[in-house]
Amino acid sequence: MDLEESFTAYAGARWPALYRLAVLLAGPSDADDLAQQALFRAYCAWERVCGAASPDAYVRRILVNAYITEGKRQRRALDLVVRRDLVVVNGSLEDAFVGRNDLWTRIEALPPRQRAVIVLRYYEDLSEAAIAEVLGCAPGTVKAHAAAALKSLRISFETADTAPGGRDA
Amino acid sequence: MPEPTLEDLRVVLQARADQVVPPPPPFPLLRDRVTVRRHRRRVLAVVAVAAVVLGVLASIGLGRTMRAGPDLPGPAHTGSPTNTAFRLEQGAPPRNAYVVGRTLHVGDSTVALSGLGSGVAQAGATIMVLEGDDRCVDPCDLLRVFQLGPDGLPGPDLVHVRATYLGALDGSGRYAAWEEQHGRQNLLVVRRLDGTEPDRTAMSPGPPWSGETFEMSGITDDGRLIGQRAVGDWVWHFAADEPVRRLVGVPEGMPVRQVFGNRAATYRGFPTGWKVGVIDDRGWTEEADSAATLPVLYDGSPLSTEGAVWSPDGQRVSFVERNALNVYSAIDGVLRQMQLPPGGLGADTYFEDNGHVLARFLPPGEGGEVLVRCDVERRDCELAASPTGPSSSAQFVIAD
Repeated sequence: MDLEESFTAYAGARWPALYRLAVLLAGPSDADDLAQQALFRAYCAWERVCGAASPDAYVRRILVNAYITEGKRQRRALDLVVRRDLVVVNGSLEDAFVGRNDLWTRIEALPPRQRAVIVLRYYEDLSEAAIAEVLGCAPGTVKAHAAAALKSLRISFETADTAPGGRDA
Repeated sequence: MPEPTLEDLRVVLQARADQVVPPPPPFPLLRDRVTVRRHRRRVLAVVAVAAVVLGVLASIGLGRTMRAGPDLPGPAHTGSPTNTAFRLEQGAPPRNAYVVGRTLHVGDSTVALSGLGSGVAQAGATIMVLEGDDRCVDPCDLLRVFQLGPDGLPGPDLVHVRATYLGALDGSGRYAAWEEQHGRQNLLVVRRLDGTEPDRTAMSPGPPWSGETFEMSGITDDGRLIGQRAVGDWVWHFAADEPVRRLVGVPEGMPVRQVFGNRAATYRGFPTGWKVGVIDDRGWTEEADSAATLPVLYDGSPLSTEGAVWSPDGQRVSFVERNALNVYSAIDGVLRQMQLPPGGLGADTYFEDNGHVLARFLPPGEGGEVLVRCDVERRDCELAASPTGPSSSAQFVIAD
């Protein structure tokens, strides 16, 4: 099997998983671009990718880093938009509509690196060491990001409960 | 409402993933991109050969004498605001460099770029710009550094290399740093722009591979490069007449976001704030920690520092939150707020040399982004720039 064929076989098999990961990281509107970009980069470096111990890990790393690097500016703006919308959501929805959907909205509002750690840890089920490998950092840093993300989620719930117009109001 | 559990996180993420119906693999698109990339390389090769041939012909006098072209058009002025929902007076164009599409703007000057500008850095009249090409993956984007003359025209390129990411300039414009890819290795290069010293280089940390992130945080006034790969931080000492060496010192998990003078600012992120300190051979020496004085906003929630930007003198922090431009003074601990026109989406902020703050802002309506300039002391805002014409939907890429 030549490189072209092996890439086609790999991409055909792994595309759905790659796409789902892109949706969890970047949201449905940007997932297509992100997944395509990752696949394109993997194609361009395919000789190195398929020679790696784990091509999946390699491509996942490309995707996560592309997400963190290239959409930072846009995501920063989106982050503010999402947070502002949260206030409206909190004040207008009934308790029956919050819960897990609400949790997803709050995950979307996390900074990119924290969101990546949460998705890799609790969706991809990667260990801290494996996430550190993906992000190119120390396991302790992953732990710090995870703790910060969980703390943010916790605080955002507490704030929603106690804010004027919040659910407890 | 009960706090989310880790099991809730797993269920929510899995449920979200299960909702996704992936489209077919984009093989046709991928083939197109690869074809375009190859074609582009062939065209570049042909152009290069043609240029050489023309040069040879001209040098032996066979060609006609090439005349200078017609007078170049004068510098373009930023247009009037096109968005009727946005009724701010038009002010002077910003001195901060910014890119819209293929044009770099600095004050009244414009510089045509060969590709879409995807990053820009500025130190006075010294400009670094990354001319991107999204069809290209290898380090084929063009990183240029040049200085604008008093006439507003760019001088010769002081740096002209292929790179993947934007590099950094020091505050005085004396040094530029960037990362080059050499085969399977990434090389950090620091150049003194007056050409009085040879380039200093060091191997970039971490395994070299496609897609790895390297961010240049900045160069201190005494010539130390501060950069980071992913969330780990490294500092290189590039002082003259000394070997390049790597320093240890930035607190783990606190990426350096800005460098001003000889100090660096890190952010711990929401909700705990930022630290400012000095990085040297002794490591990280903390000078200020906002945790004790972090302003509490509106409904009691603490300030999110994710999008906050420090002033060049390190005295103030600006950010946009909930349609208000906020400037927090680290000296007197006062938070000054300026309401932006309603309905738009606030985004990044930038300090001008005179202390005024620019906010990149998307007003309501169909127009593109605009730059708003606010004097937070006088509580007065004006329009600094708004792209018009075909680029009206484009976003600004502006130097921090």
